[in-house]
Amino acid sequence: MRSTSSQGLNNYKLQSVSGSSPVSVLEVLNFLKLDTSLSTDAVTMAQIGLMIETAIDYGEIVTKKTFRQSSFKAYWSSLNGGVYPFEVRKFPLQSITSIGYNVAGVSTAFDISKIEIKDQDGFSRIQPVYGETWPSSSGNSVPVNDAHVIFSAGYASGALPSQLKNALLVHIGSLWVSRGDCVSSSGSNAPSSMVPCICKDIYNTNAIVDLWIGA
Amino acid sequence: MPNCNIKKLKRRRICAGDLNIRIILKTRSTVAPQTTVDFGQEFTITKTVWAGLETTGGRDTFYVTNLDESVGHVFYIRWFTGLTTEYWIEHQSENYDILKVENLEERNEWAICYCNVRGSKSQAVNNA
Repeated sequence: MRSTSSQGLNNYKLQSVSGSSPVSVLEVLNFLKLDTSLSTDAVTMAQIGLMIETAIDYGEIVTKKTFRQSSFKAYWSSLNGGVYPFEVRKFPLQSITSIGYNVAGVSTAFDISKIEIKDQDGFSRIQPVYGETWPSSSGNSVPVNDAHVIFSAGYASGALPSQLKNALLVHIGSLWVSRGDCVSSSGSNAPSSMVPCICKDIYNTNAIVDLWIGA
Repeated sequence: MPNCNIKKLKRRRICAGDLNIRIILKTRSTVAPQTTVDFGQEFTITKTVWAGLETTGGRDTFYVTNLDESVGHVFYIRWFTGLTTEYWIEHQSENYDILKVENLEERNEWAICYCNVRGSKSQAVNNA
């Protein structure tokens, strides 16, 4: 999948993670053939929980996809009327929660029923429905301030593609096996080699090719 | 500058993928006689775990039991607290007497059970 850049939304901030982890601790224990009674051991659970988070973070960075449903906030660098589509650089985009902006110090909400989501091969875009325009100040001559969108993106619970889920498990397994190992800064023991090749292959195959240069 | 010599320690481990069989770990206890003067034996299943199996020798079988008392089967399992030679292993309906338990590098991660196969669990002679 390829995504082309379009001027607009940037400075993405994670608001909250609402979806459950795509991989449960019990699935990790079973995958590693560990005794499931370890689920009552707080230290082990903390370690595995950290490994799950690490693997999810790595997978999301490489694939440009969000593995669990989350709420984000992003800002327009400039919003000044028009009907241009804007790319929302989180995948898969689920819904728009709200759009807000500021005019002369007054916070204003933009009616989200006036916009539509255009799914495409890669990041989705949002644009005004037919007959509507993005907000502006003073008759399209002045951009609005603090224009932002709050949206939900990420795979719903149980919807993460099997390949990605399997890559997560393999990566977590690798982290578990090598826990406590010291690694040198170069050579075959470099940190990047801690990610199994099969994971990298799966992530690269499923990655959105991101041509965006910027924040 | 002084040279550092890194002491490399052996850190043996088993690939989880090589744990490809399921075995039953059970404990043995004596049972008070009810109708005879002989004490009986009773096995209690403790847990079923994934294991890897390596054979290191053959059998010397007479009727339904193995006469050889040496280690012929080595099971690799995840370590769990309390694992001792008091345990017995059941695999494919055969009893295995654990002769030695090795806690790999004493890391409490992997256990190697050196076993002597007794034979079919349905034959009382193989409970001894």
